[in-house]
Amino acid sequence: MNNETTNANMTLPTEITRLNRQERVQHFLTFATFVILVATGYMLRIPEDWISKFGEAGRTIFYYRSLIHRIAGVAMIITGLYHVIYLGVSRDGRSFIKDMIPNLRDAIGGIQNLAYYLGLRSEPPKFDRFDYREKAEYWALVAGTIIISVTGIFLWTETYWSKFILDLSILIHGMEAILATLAIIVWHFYAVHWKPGQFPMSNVWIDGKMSAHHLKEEHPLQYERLVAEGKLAPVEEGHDVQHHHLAPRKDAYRRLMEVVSLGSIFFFAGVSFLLVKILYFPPSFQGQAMASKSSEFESLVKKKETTETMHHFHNTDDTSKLVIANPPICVKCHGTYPHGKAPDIRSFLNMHNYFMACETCHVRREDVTGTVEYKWFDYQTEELVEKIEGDNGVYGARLVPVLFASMNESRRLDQSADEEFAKQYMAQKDTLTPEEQAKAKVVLHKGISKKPLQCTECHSKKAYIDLATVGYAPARAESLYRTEVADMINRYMNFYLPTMFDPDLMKKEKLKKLESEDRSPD
Amino acid sequence: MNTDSGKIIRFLLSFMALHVLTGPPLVLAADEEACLVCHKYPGLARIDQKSGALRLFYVNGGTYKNTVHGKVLCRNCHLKLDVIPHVDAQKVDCSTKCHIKEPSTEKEFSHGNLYAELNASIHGTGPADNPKKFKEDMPICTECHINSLLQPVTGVLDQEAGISSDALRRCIGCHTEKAWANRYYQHFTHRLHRSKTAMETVKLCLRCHEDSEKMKRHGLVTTDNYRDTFHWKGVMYGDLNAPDCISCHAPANYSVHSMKTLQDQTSPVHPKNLQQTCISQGATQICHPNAKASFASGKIHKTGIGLEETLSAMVKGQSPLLGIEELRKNRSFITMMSEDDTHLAALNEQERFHWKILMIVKYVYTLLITVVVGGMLVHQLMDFYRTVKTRRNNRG
Repeated sequence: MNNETTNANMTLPTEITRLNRQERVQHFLTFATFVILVATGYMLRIPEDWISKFGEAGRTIFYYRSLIHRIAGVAMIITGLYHVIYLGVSRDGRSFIKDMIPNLRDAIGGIQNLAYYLGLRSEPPKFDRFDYREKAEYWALVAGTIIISVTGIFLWTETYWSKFILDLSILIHGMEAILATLAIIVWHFYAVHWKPGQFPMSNVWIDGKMSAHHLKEEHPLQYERLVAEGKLAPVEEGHDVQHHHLAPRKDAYRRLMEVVSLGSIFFFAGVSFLLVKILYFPPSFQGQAMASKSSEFESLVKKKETTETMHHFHNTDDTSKLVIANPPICVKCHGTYPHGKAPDIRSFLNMHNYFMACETCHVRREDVTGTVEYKWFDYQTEELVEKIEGDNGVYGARLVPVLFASMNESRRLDQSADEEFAKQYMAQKDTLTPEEQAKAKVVLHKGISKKPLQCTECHSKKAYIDLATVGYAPARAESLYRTEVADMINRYMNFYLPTMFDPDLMKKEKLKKLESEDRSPD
Repeated sequence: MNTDSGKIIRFLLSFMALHVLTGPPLVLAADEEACLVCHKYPGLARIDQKSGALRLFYVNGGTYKNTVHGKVLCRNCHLKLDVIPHVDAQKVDCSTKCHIKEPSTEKEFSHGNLYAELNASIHGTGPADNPKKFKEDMPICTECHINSLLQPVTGVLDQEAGISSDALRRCIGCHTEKAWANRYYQHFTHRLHRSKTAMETVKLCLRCHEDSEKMKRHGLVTTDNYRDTFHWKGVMYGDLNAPDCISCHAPANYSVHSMKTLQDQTSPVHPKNLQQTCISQGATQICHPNAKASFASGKIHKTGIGLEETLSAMVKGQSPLLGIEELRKNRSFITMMSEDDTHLAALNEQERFHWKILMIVKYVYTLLITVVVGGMLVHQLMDFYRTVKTRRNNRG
């Protein structure tokens, strides 16, 4: 620089006011309303699972969401009008808009800068007060504000417009929002937060100041003009620009800002991902019904059960679903509704499954060596239950025969001695031939008695299992072989005991009946 | 009704029941026929040997007596139960007369009129001698209705769950039998509001109406794109004012059971009646009281534009499913723009024009965003590269 001004350097400012107070207020209002509008607006586009997590609070959130969105929208429009007035009234404003008007030099500057990026130029072009990036962003903001305000007002005053206008408004409002948010993230946040030299954040929006060094770097034409006009101290050559600009004000504060700024990169990458997903892959509800149709197995076997219980006419509650923490091997294979053969009593038999191990009926005491005692075991902990609580079979426990081979050797009969064998069979079932499977099944079921206990064996005065001894209250035990059954007989004229309680007899009777009606036994 | 108020109702009901019913075996008192001797066991169930469906015979007596059918005996709906095992039991037919006397007419009560109404509606199976095609697709009573718990409300305006003791005390003055008055109060107020939440209603309707194969059989398109609307967002958030299917297809003064086609003049969604439907006068929901005729014109169920489906299928690397393949064919940009597309053919000249405008705007905006933001991204990446390199050189 020339020698004449060197002496005056001491009194010349070393930084310029890039944004005055008015402009900073305008920026802050734009920033605040933008963030609020994005947050409350995208609450309509977030994945449905997220919305359902709001639960009961959703209603309130929804109410305030739309209220706040409208308030912020109005604030944004007012900010825009305030800015327009500022541009016309204030001297700074007039110079702002004059410098902001795009011209041919911006296009040339943009091309030259790209050439510099590509290594086709050794130096970047010299920019004036606003470079092509800033002008593009400013005018995009102006256009975006107008578009989003107009469509927003249409949507707000929906009842005065045709469905077509509203459809178009929704479409444009949403599209413009995606464009604006992505542009802010990619264009603006990079330029003022993440760009090396700006990281973690440019302070211009807070204090409005830009150092001469920085100005020389980014807006050399303005810098040269100001220096020539004697309004700015020139930067000394060879000075470490970087160091000067980034001189840490406060170490801890700066470190925190760095962490936040770095974290924000990941946060906004996630936001961008969601926005891109909304743009190109919005939730496609058309696909859902088809996806559920994809497998016949699913639609026939798995779905049925849920719909059967969920929409059951009689308000079926969860107790109908038997929950066993560690189901015995019988249940693993046969399920919780194993009885299907005897048509007229299979539901009764299945009902007993709810609170009894299979072996209680299917293993006779006579067929094992040793004494058998009947004990209750908890469904969840498998611990011995001394006293059952609950009603209608909902005891949370099941009655299990326990075999005492000797005084101090006992074994629960529902826990197969060959558990390992059973597991291996289950695992290899598909690879076995039908003959091998049959053979394995014989081995698996060798402990099972030929003829299971019949209904009347327990539901009689001299019960096979003494119901009072196993833990039923005396009145309840008595009702199991007396009152309830007797009550039924009294009420129904054609109640054909004992066939009901004897599967073999009942089958014969049924066959006879079918024959007499000249129907096939199927 | 949300779960909380459900809980409150249940609490109130059980509280009431404790007060009202005397004599020890609570459950059996309501169970005049002693059905619960067997049917109280949750395990009473079997797998149907023909269909593989789970047949659940469990009935929770305590719950049942507080349901809308709580006073109806089992055998009034389930005919021919006289024999145990119930070998001759008949399938429940809601149109049969049950043995409750309807107090206003002293006649035996029946859902027969609703049954007839449903059968005459779009959801009906058609006349017995000339049934509709695929009549098995049509909903039967129990597909939409379960024997719901009574959900009384304390007032018509706020519809808070529970029993208004203030109102009830006015009844009890004359109707001295407390249990009856209580029951009648609940019977009445249960029907002053809808017992299904908007979400439940939408899911219920969509159980059939999102099944593209089923809809195709009846010449319809799936309506799951309701979920693209602002209406659905409100429902998702639990806004009580947000409309579900019934709000528009059977608003006040229309019956759910007699839904008509769009073309029918008496349908609330017929273009002639649509404005009135949007205004929703007389309904508990306040929708669009100032709706102009133009507002109520146009397609509410928008059709997806197809780009999404095709792209998702392509990205997932799968050959588009049959339906999506068809969607792609039907909704590709070119066929959408051509006149002979079936979807467009159903629209009138103006709607077709609007549709095309929307399509063009969507495509142009998508392209714009892609180019602009994509360009910005490339620009900033180059800037980053160059800046880092320059700074390194300066430092070095």
